[in-house]
Amino acid sequence: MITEIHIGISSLAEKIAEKLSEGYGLMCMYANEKGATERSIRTLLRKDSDIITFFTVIEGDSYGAISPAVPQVRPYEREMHEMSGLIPEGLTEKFGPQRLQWAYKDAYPLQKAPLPEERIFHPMPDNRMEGDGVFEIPVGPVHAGIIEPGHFRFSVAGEPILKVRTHFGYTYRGIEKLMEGRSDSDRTRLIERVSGDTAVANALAYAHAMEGDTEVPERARYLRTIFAELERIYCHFGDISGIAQDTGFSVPAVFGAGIKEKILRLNEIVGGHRFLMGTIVPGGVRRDISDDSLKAIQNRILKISFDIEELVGMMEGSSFLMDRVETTGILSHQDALTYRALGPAARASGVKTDVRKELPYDAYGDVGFRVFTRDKGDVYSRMLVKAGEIVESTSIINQCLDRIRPGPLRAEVTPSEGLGLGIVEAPRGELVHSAEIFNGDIWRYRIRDPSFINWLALERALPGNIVADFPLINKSFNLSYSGNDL
Amino acid sequence: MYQKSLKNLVSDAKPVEPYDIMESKRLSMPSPDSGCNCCGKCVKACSGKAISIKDDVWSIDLGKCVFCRDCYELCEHMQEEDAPHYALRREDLVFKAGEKKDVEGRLPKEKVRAVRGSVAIRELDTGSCNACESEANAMGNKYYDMERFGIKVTPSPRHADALLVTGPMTRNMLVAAQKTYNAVPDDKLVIACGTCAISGGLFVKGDVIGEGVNDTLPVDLYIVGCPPTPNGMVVSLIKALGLRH
Ligand code: SF4
Ligand code: SF4
Repeated sequence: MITEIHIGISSLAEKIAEKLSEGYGLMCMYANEKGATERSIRTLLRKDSDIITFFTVIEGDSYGAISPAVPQVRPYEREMHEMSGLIPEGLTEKFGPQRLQWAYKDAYPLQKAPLPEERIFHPMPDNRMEGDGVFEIPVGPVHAGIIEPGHFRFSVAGEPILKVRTHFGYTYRGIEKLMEGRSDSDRTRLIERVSGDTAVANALAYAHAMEGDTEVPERARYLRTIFAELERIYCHFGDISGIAQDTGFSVPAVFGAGIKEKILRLNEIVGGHRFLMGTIVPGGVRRDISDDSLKAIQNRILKISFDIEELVGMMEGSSFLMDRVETTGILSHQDALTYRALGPAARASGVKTDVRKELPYDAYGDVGFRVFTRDKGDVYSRMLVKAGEIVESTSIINQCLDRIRPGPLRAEVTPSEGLGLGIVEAPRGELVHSAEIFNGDIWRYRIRDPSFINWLALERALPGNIVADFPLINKSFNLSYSGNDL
Repeated sequence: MYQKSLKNLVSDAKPVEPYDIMESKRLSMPSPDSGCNCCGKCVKACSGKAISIKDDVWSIDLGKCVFCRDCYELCEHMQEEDAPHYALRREDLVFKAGEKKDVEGRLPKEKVRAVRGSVAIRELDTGSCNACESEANAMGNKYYDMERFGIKVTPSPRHADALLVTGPMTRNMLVAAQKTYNAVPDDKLVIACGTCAISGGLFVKGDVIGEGVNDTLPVDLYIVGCPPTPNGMVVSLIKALGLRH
């Protein structure tokens, strides 16, 4: 299933372009340090269940830039430059800071040698738009609501947005580096806190990356699926209620937030934590859940299909809300494909992509469900896709509850050497964890959150909309800042 | 449609939780019974480095604990105790084995001059994992309904009485955090919410400044949890600031 190909740096750009034209999607790219392995670039491509990885050894720190030939590589090239100190040669434009506003002098965060104390301020490049009546509105990093920090610069002419530039890194804590040289339980705790509201998906991806070929017991596979779907349900409820909130329609907003709270309480009963942190471990699940808890899940799930119908009905019944959400923040089908948008954002633009179907993990191969798509790509479509996914999730949980049998919960895991991959469908889309394991320890751990890609898609969906609609569009994507920054 | 929304609002059985129930629901903290012989197993296993044994005295720092429950599974002597919702001083969060103390005090009068029956808070994320944000948002839902106690969130720091800080204070956020702090009118309170904000939590070795927010801003109130529960946050504010309930 995973094909590893060693190729030289000179033909890498060509090979990636070739694979992309064959319909593969670029999942991730990152650099390795010299030591346990070579100084190298790892490229991960996927087409349905077929994964190809290119392993490219490079001499020194510089290589011929790939992004002029293959534009999709750009965010990764920027990341490799900042985090791993690789220098792409032949680029006309210099990279601005992606995560590190305070760079190291002659050093980079992922190097194996100790880091110097001294830091240099790395300002954001000033490439604003100029012209008659064009203004720039800076927003953030501290926003009006209770949300995470990020900085946006809108170039506007009157009300409509011409261009937006995003500037992140405010929640950069250096998680990838912290993953190295720790014990397994430390890493699990850490990975659950990459992005708190996708704790299950992150823990699952980490578990998959560590497990390799280990056979996970059946009961554990079903429990994992149930947890992952519970997480998807509460995330989507939060998003839909947030959309109502941002249009100022508080009745559905309060209603949706109430349902989210009910599921969080259910989580606490079944998993011992409101965000289900600490439920999933490599090899299986940590604790069993009782028949009473399974019953509690079943009862709640039964009501949820009605709740979501009521919530969406309430919202659709209001013409002023529909005015706000229809034709707002359109991500075109073409843009969704070019930027390889992920998750509900892509599905709302007519791209049928879902890791649960393409690369079934845990119990997803045994259950039947539909992948919900819409083709308009506006806020309303994203809302409907999320609503549809909630219904599908309840059906998945029901099927799991029907089939779950008593059995062992955890298998012994010995991490395999070399590359370990974990690809799961988080509530926000395809989440990729990639571990380079040598001598049982992690040499390099790369987390590619769906937000990393979808922020670029969001930038494409904004131009032409008015500034006042930005919170609404942002909410409909609901991207994670901390998952992006790590 | 409007009729239907109204029906929905009135037909739902009252979900609002009384203060006493909110107060009684607590996180649990580990505390070994008398069978503990200080073998040090839990010290090694604790991801948050919260447990320490010094001169045969076992103690836990709730400001570092991430409530992962690893230690319960490890040792049969570990018992669950009710954890405090908050403390006013950092050192109050350290508990010895079996120790019981009431750390949920009230802030002195001169500290809460700006708070007269209600408090306006401004949330400030300094690198949190967004679980703390999610819970802070949940304070406003119909179960906890913080506004009935006079707690509200303001969009601008200029209108705030208190800063609710979450996250370990990343280097990138430092300048923005200080500017936000300066923008809050005087007589302000700083609330460190969650393990990250109290001690840096799991990220203390990462690209963060100091050990917790206290190293950069003067913290008045520490709310325990990773993430703290919404009821814990509401109760902490009520008790520490002396709001009516
Ligand atoms: S619950 Fe986890 S973090 Fe807290 S003391 Fe126990 S092992 Fe340490
Ligand atoms: S205290 Fe815990 S939940 Fe809160 S931001 Fe830190 S890691 Fe996340």
